[in-house]
Amino acid sequence: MKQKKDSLYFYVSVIFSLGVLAYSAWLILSSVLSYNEGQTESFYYSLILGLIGIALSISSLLTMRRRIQIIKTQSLKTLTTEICEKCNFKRVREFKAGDYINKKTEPCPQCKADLAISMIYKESPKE
Amino acid sequence: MLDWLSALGITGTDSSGLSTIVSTLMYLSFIFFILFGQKIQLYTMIWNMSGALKKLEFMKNDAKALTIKTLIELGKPKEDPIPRISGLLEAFFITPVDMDPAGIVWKLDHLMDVRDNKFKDDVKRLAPEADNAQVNNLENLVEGSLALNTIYRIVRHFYLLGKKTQSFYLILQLQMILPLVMQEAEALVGATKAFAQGQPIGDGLGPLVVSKLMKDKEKRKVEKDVVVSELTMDGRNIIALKAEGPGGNVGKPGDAIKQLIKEREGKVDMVIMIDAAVKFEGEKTGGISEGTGAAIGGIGTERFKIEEEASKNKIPVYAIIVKESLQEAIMPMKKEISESADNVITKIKGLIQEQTKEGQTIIVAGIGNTIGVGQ
Repeated sequence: MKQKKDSLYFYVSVIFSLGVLAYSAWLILSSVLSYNEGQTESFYYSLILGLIGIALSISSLLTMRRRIQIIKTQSLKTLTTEICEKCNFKRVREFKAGDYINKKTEPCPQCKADLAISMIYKESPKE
Repeated sequence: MLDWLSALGITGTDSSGLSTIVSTLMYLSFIFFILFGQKIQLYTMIWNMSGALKKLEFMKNDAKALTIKTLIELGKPKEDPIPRISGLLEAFFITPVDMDPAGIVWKLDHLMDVRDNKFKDDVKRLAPEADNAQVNNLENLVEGSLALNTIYRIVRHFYLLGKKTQSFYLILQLQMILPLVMQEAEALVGATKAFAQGQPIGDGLGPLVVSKLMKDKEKRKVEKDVVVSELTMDGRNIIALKAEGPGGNVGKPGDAIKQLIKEREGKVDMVIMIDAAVKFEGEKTGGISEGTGAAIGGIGTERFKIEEEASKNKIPVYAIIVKESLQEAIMPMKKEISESADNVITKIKGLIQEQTKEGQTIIVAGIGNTIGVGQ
């Protein structure tokens, strides 16, 4: 429930920032038109507002991007690799408390010899 | 807005009034920033720091809660552990006086032993039902929480002091190192999670390599929490040693190597030390380097013992290191680090073939925290 609320908040923030970005770009464009028409005060007004809007929306989008990267890193799983030394059967599963390297776990599903944990590692984030 | 500007005499057709206002504002802001620029910077830094401090407080509370939860789950204490844990998280260590440095290593070694034993006893008392490996993991977990608590207390101290004295330079110093402090704190949060579950960490690379060498071989215990196995590799006698796992433990490899050399009356032809070492930014995690000297971190007492014994008996000491960042060393082990273990074994083989003859004796020491790595 909380996760749903968080992702809704995230999407609303992204849409809002993109909206501000688009409106700011339109303001800068209209400031150029005002300058061509000789409306100096309207030019200054739109240009300053447009620049502030662009700076704020880009900063907000960059912060969100950073947050996504942090969340991605935090959600990476730790994996355990089990290997049968007799028939080379290999199985990768999620880490369970109590796992450790060289621990004999259960009989190999292929040859019934012991499976042993050979590696425990944290997934790498996808590039 | 336009009406207001018109009232001031600045009409749409005449732009000289508006440019006067703009230029006056620019002059005023220039003077304002000359007078108050540093103050504004100070308040911005204080504001940033207050955010970082809140984040640190959240991290240390999170780590403390995890410590209490794990202690209750594994140790099943009979009384409320919170007051004792709070006491442990404020524990401190006073290093020996170094005005007269002669003999300081042994004093430091003794004081560290006292501290470690006291810490372990306290954790044991808090978790009476936990087995030895779990006690070691819990000890590491409490150490992680203690480190986070200490970072929080130091940052808060300088933040409040800077705020109280309004000292720009005091705040500036903290602001400069804050990104590194935050990185360290985030890594410690990762470490506490790994310790709570008994997952191997990046620093466990040395014990991982040696555990591969000593797999299915007979083992014996030597000096404090170190296990040793004897095997042969390309006709050479290998004495492989690592801290006893799978609980979180670094052992005392210095004492163990000293004991092994003494047992053989100095007849050891080479010592190879395997450890994880801090990489420079831009270097690849899991990269391997070879060098000479005792590859072992910590406060230096173990390195001193190894160097002393090796130089007394004229034994060459070689080091093979696997590169990783300071954060990667205390966080759950990455795949690149785990996969580099087999390459390290290939390097060991290459080194002994180049530098020793058949029948010679070589000590291979896997240095680091052996959490999540059995033997």
